[in-house]
Amino acid sequence: MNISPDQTILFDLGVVKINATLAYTWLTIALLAGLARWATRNLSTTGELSPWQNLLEVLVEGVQNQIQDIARQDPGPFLPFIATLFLFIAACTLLAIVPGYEPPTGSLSTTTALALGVFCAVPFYGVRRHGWRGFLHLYLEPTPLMLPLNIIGELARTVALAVRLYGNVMSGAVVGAILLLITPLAFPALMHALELLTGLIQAYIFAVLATVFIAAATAAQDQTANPSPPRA
Amino acid sequence: MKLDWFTVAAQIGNFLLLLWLLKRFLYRPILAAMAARQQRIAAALAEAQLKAAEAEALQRDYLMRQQELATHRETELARAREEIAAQRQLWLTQARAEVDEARERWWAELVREQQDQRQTLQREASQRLLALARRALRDLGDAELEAHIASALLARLQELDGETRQALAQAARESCAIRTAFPLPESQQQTLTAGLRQLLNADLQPDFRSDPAAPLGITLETPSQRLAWTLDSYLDGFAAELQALIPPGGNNHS
Repeated sequence: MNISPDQTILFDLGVVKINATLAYTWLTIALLAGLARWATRNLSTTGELSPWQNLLEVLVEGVQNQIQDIARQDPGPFLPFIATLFLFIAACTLLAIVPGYEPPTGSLSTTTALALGVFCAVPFYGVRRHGWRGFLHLYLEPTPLMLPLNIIGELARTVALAVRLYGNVMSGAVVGAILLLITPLAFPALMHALELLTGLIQAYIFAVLATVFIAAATAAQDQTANPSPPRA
Repeated sequence: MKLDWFTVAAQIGNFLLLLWLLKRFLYRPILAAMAARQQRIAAALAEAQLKAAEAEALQRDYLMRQQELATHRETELARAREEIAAQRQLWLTQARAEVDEARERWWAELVREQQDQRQTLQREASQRLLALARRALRDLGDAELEAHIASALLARLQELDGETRQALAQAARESCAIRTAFPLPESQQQTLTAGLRQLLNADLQPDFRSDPAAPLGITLETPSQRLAWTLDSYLDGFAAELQALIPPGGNNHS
């Protein structure tokens, strides 16, 4: 039994091995991009909205409001990154109900990639907001003695992000597969429904944590009198 | 739990690709549509606020005009009432004056009519009285009375001054006629002719004529002069005296 889609190799081109994680990721990307393109082909700027436009506007505005509530900042710069994280993870989790689909978020490589993305996004937005000097100064707060601990904390939260998401998604898939072997059909179905819920919650938690990390790095000085790198 | 670094790198790339695609096809169009709609709503709200402000200004203006109109109306009404009262008073005064004048005129007319009626009545009474006297004398008249009248004519002729009598005699020499209502007897004619010749000192041959329609009396007619004694002349004189006794106008208004 493969517990990670990374182990399912579809094409082996030597160094480049196309596994199921990549394939399902591309499929998910194609689906999301196609849906987005299809839904936004005829956007209305008047009062008459199509159901799809309405749904997408609710989604985008909901993410904007969440970022605004958490970061207390203009959500514009963070919206694409945070919303893409949420949509990708949520899409992977929801598509898990399709038979044969293996969620890419069940791969530690994918969650690590996403966690690394957050890891890189924090200094990216922090430096853009405060400059190199201002951003690096955050690691010397409240005292330069805290520098090693702040760096360890930064790495640890990235690992925690990756492992948390991977563990939840993978465990759901593994537990579902095991239950399918030893229990009647109804119970795995219920577990699958629960898995959908936990998957959406994981997507929300991942996006919120990413927002918190980025917001801590980009918070205004007067709002954070003693700023320190956030911890997971 | 094995970490495939190639897959990690590829997933990072995939995530960036997805980020770009969604930004291109989802966030940007949706945010643009929302911004456009918000802009439209903001524009509509601004326009609505502008119109509301205009409406409020119009309402204030309307209320102010209404108030002015009410004030002006009261003023105009008061002025109109004053004008009406003044005009009414004026017309009443004029009407009273006209009524007084008409009443004076009517009263004067009434008085005049009363006077006319009284005068007419008096005149009628005197004329009837005269006519009655004239008829009574005519009924009593005869040749003997005419003889007395002829004597009266001679007496009047004798009363004339010399110059008048001379002029009369001069005219009588050309033509002379004696007119009476009744035919005079021959003796009376001779007496009268003798009397005329003596008084006028002229050889006269009067022409005696009788006319029943003539008034009671005797008339000496010449081409240029005329001397008469008739009862009518007496009565005319009486009538003139009677007329003189009737006042020309009354002064009793009651």
